[in-house]
Amino acid sequence: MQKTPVLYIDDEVINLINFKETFGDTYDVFVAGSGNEALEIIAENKEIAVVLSDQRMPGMSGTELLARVNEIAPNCERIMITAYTDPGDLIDAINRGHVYRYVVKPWDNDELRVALAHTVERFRLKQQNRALTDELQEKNERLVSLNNELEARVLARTEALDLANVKLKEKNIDLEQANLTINTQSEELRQANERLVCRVEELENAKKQVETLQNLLPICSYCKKIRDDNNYWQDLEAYFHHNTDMLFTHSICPTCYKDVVESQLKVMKKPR
Amino acid sequence: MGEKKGRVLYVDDEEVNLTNFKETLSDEFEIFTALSGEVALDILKKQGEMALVVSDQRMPGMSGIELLAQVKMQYPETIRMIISAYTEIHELIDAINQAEVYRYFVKPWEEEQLRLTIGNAVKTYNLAKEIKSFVSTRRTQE
Repeated sequence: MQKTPVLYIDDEVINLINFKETFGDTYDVFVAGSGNEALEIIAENKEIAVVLSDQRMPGMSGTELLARVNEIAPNCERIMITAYTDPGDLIDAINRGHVYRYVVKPWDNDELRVALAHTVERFRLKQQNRALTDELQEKNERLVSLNNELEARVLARTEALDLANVKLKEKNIDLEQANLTINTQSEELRQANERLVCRVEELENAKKQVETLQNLLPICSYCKKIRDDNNYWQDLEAYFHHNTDMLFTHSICPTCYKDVVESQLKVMKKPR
Repeated sequence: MGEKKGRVLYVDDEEVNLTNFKETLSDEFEIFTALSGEVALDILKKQGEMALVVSDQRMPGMSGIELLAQVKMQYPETIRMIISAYTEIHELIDAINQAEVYRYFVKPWEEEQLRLTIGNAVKTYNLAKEIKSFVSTRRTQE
């Protein structure tokens, strides 16, 4: 397994050698003699897990360096290792350097090993946590975009359905109008039909009357005039002519001749 | 919890400091106070996790660092701060190594700086909570 990279900063070379010898078997140890050198190493090795720094060095102080590290590599854990314990430096180490551990020189190897192991563990846990969070964030974003896509599809589908619905409604209105027209026409036809039925009844009645008249003709017992439908008494000739187109030619039968004409002739021939 | 930014517990054996703290900051935060470390742990048990516990260092009975080391074990997400008039070396080192404090304030405090620092601490706590709840809700959905 690859060794975790850690960086130790001290202006005393002997301390750097000592640290590297003690921890080189467990960690991938980087060392620097000054704050500036340390910042260069961090810029090139972003994956450094822990920075351990001396406090009092020429140039940049340990607190200053750790404050800078906190800005440029905030995931990196920080430990202060120093022989001097000035309260002001200590308060700065907390409030500016945001150190996770403070180790007093000369360090006890076992103590520093435990402290370093804890710090690396903390770095690993935070790293895993970040990775998980990122992964979830990414999944979440994918879900959100998928969701948006689905919503857009549903929206498009809904719009299409709405449009179809509008068209159907228009068709429906047309159909209702057509239906209304048909109903009106149907009503008119029904009325016309009723009228026709009435007419047929009338005609049938008339026909019955005609038949009745044909079968039974009322005639005056004396003058032989015939009663028509309108209750008029008509001469026989006039009646038949009117109802049957029959024409009459007037003649005199022998009986009537004898009874009527001869007696009249006799009267005419009688001298006055 | 209303519109206040977060719940803050302040622990000090001087009652006047508690009153002062509460009067100064209760416009912005929901402030709880305790006169000793023991009372503070009791309040935490009853009221539940706070965003921030701020403690005086030197008190009869439990010290501020002892209290915050307990808080760290029981409520690891709560942010911890020391406010002390004393700046004794071994206390400062313990503040880092045992209580893992977020800030070390030297008494007498400056109101604006304290307000800003508490605001930042509460923000940090809320952010961590948000990330945690985001992770847990997403995990249950998966």
